[in-house]
Amino acid sequence: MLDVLVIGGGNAALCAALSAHEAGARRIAIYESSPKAERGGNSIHTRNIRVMHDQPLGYLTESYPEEEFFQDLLRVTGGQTTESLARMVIRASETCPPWMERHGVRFQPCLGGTLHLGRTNNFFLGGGKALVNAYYRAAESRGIQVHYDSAATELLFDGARCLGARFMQHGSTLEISAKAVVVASGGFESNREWLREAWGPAADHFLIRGCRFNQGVILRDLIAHGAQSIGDPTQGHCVAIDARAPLYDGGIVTRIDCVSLGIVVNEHAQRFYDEGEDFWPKRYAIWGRLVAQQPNQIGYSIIDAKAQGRFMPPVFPGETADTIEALAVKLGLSPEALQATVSAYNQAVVPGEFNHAVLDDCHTEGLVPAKTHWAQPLDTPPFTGYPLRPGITFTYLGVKVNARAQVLFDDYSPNLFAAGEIMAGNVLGQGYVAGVGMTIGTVFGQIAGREAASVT
Amino acid sequence: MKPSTFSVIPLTPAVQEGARVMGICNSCRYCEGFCAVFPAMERRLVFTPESMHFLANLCHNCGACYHACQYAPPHAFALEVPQAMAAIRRETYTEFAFPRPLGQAYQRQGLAMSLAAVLAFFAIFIVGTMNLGDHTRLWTAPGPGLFYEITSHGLLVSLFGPVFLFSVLAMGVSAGRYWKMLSHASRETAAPILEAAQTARDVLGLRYLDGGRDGCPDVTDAPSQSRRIHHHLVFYGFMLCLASTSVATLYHYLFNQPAPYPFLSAPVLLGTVGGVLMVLGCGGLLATRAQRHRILKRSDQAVMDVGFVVLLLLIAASGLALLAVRTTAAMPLVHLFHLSTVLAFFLLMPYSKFVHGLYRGVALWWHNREQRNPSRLQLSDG
Repeated sequence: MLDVLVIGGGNAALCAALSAHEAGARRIAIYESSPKAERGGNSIHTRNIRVMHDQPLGYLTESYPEEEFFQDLLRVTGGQTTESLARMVIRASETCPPWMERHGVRFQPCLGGTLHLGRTNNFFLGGGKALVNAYYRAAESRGIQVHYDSAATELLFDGARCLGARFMQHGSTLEISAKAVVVASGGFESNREWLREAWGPAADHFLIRGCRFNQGVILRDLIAHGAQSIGDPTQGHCVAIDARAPLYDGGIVTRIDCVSLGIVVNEHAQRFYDEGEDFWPKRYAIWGRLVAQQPNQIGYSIIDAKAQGRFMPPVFPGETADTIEALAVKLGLSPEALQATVSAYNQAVVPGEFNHAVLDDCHTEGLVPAKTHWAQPLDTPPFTGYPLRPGITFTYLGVKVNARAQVLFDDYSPNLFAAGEIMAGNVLGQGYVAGVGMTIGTVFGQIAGREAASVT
Repeated sequence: MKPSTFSVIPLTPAVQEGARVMGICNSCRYCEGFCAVFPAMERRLVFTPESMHFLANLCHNCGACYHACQYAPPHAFALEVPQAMAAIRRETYTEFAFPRPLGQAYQRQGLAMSLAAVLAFFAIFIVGTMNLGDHTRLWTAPGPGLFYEITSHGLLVSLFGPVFLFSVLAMGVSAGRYWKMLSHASRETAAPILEAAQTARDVLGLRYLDGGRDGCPDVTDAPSQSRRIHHHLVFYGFMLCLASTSVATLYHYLFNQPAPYPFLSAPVLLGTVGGVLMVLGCGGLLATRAQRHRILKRSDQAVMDVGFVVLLLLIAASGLALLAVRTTAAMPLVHLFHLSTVLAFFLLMPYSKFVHGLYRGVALWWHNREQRNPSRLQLSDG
């Protein structure tokens, strides 16, 4: 019998296993559903962790006090957070970087183009996959067993006490029993059926930014066994990404960062939202839903030559043409309709002083919807267009836990703990702020591992 | 003058693949902290053949970016940055070789050319020595004059001098062409002394073989300093051997003290320590190359990589052997063999893997110049 059974193979799972070892447990096993080459879940696509600090910490500049972090969280979640747990995560985040370094993770200054995160977010040298690799090396060197290609199918219970889990491993069923179990197996964003339940037929056009393994099997199993859920069951973090991205694992490169520099139209070549409402990092997270609400869940970001070289290069080249009509043809839009939309927009632009670094005074007048900043006429060929689709990053629905990471049924389970996306809804019930998923996963991973090690 | 956009470097499949890879990397940038390749990439939006020949030579083939890559196989993007860069470097070595046909020939038949050169020189030396007089000199313990009783000082100077000068000249032409390509692609303000100092630090310390911090992955994804250490052993061993020859030349001309020198003399000590370091370094590089991750050793580069290190190993080992047997009957043949390896090395220098240091040094110099200039791009994700 294992001391600690960890279900999942991403950041939270690895933190739990390493922390259980640190707390004295010795028979520890990680069961990861993916093959070794695809291990790490969505953590391989991450790049930083949001960390509170009262003075400069490593590469983190100035300070990022608890209250400011909490207010940021409160703002993006619209209050959908559990304050006691949120504050606990925030306070504990300060201790994460040294713990991570001790387990082989390395940090670096914030990446090019992300200066706005230099104060709040600690970047991993080499990104999330380098972090995951470091943790797996640390796990192996500590004698923690790692089993790949092992998808958990259900948990085994005696009341609220978890006895272990059943796995599918290379086509056969396997039962593992343990004194304590940590579930860190992610959300359900890779499960198309479930997405359809939440979003309806629109979900068929969603792209999954992360791995194909987050099927939500254990999440659903927990809820079926009476675990209390938390977080918006019908929502996920959804951004507008390049429609040509692969179905899974498109990750960071599929983002389109030129929305605020041009206009966005739907398949009828009509604009549908203020592209210049706020700075792009504050707005990109709403565009997934905006595009999801358009017919056939598709949009087109259109810019002219003035925008070239002003935004992070997209992974796929855009369609380009010397006239708006020709671009429309290439994008499969009605040339007349797109020309009419662009003309109406160009005529509504009030000349101002363009400055992408501030909320400038370039805006439209008498146009619905308005573009309130960075509005410049689309008049300089070549024109470029990028097709957009909703890209789902993670889901909010999770199981309710307490500060010891115990899963709540009628009462808190004595030996079943949750960490990472499967419980992130306790802190992040909706919305998103960069790097907070890794904060929740790292802090709750450590707590879950420590608590699991103390189960007798 | 506007930077030239006219491309003179061929757009080969290797360059196209490199440009595809860099296009994806440039949207991601997670590997920025590993080495010079990624910060240099971030100053570009379009990856021309010229920029690919620049970026590829900044790459030290360490593998940190491959193991950290979320888009490596089995991902559909199938990014293998070290492989892509190695394929382009191979083309740099022929594209900029002078004269080019020799570079092309070496790429095809590097090992054969190395061995042929060694054996040819060996044969020439033996025949030459025999023709000069008594052939028993080849298997007789030499007199007090040692080496120069076998091969006269004048003969050595007249053989090695032109070969060495030709190689230095050829590499000068290559480096000049390569620099011209870099400096024509974009205009940057120069600060030569600061750039030189930085480049010297980068080269002498193998700065970018640190994987950003703890070392480079070698066999697994675990960081290791093994390659850096072994490369240092070879490099500094080689430098000590060069120093040994230089000091001996000074002794010969300045102080009128021809070889042989006693063991406890500067030339012999420098050469001995240098030789030992080279043997250890070359041995280490060869041993670890076999275990390196598949991604870090292109099969089409094995001959070039291994051939070069084997030749260095032969030079060092035969030099040490010569010291050991210099008063015995084995000395003349070992002496001639050692001379043959050194001569072959010098002759093939401009076409062999030796030039990796040349192009990398020039590329690092250009990179250091670029980094002192602000980027022309105004990318923002805001």
